[in-house]
Amino acid sequence: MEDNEIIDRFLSGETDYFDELILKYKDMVFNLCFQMLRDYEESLDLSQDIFVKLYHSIKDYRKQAKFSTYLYRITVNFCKNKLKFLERVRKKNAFSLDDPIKTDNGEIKREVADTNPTPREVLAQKEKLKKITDAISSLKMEYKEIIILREMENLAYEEIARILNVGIGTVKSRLNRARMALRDKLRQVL
Amino acid sequence: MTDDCKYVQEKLSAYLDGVLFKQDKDLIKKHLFSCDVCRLRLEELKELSRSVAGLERVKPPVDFLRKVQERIKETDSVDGFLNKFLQKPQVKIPAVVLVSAVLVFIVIKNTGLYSPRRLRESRQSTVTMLGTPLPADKRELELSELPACSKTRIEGLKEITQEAHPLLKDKSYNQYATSTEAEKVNMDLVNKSKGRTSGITPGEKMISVEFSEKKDFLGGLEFADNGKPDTFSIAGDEIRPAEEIPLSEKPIPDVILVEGTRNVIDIEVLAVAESLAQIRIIANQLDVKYSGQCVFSDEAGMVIKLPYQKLAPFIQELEKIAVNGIKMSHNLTSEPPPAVISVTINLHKSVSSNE
Repeated sequence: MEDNEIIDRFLSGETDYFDELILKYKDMVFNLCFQMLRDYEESLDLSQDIFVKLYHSIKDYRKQAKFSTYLYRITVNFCKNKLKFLERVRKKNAFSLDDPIKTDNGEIKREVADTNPTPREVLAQKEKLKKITDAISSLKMEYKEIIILREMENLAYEEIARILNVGIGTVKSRLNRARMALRDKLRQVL
Repeated sequence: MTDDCKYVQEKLSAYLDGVLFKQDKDLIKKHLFSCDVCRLRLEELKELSRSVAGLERVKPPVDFLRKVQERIKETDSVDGFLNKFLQKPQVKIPAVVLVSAVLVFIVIKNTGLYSPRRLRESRQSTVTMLGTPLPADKRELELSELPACSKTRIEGLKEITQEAHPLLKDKSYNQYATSTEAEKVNMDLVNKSKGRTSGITPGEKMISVEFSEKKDFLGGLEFADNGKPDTFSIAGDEIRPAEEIPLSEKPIPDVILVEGTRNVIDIEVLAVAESLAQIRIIANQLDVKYSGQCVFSDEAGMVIKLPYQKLAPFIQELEKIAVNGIKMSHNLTSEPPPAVISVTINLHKSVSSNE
């Protein structure tokens, strides 16, 4: 059954049809959230939020674009907002390593535990893949989203343009800059 | 870098994706023929594309649909209440009362007295911990209500495996742990010679340990050695062969979650160790795929994927091993099949000590 028919049936009161949409798109939504956030629990929470939001707002879908494009756009926007929120929280909880800790016996210097993984862990985490995911995560937002949509989701330029609400020329130039930025970060790995 | 190189490198990405007009395409092709720098850059971009495309895709847990349904129900009831309240005000509320209420809310929120996340976490932490017998009224537990691995247990398990428990001593294994954050650990112990990272097939010589704090994924150890699969349970600081643990110590009922469409069914099994072994035999008989089995002190889990047509024979076989029969929340064998299938099967495995 086509997406639009499923949506029509859902909107006409056959609410069980929403389950079909969830089953069809849960992998796509969850994976995209995970690639953007790189956090399993946050991605799970967020992807569920997206479907709950969709359940209540699907009546606003105008069918001008493919439903998958519409859902990609919602997912990307949710991820962007979540990343902004997480960034704010991280900043709030951050402290300078140079700030000494004040105690009754004077000031002591902060020491940070060595969180470097052991060689065994590094081996198992497949070092190269980890470096790539880290590099993607460290890209600025507009580069990260376009790399994920093009390279991981394998979407066409036209669809990316609709999802990001920009022109195709922008997609071309932004993708080029994003790939070059990623290549600069990974020059040692590739 | 020449001006030509600069121009070409601005277009390389689009060239790689084949979205350039013929004129630019020809120009770049010609330039690449004579320029080593730009050709190398193109190769780097190709390698980059291959590497990123090869990154692992993740899938949500099998109870994802049910979780979303629950959250929709929650929001429906809240929305319904709010709509009713907002549309038909029964009582006029003085402005001063409203302002006071808002102020009180702001104070409570800012002082951290109310936190939905914290409430949710505290609810989760009240569930019975692993190994503790469940009260009789908890017999109908669903997967989401089952206890999560606590961090301390994960740390404990790490120590057990790293110190090479007597049961592990003569096994050759490689170990690795991945941990993206402190509270999430996913660990595999894999036989070196096999070099596999997950999954186990009866008869294969393999040691596998997987665990994480994901709510519905417990953890444990499983060996298949010399053609005979053995399951070991970890209880506290002990690792014991599963068959040595009496049924009375395995109080959690067998729960099977079935979700899918009329095409493919995902089945998640959470069962005591012997049931898991039996269900694995059924899966082999029906020639269906399964993965992700894990065992803890009294629970085991695996995921089975099968076509709808095999569901009825699967349940028939299950009925043979369910001591007190199967209780299903709705009929799974109806024809034509429903579009979406979501059901919990409780095997009602006998757990009393005299059985």
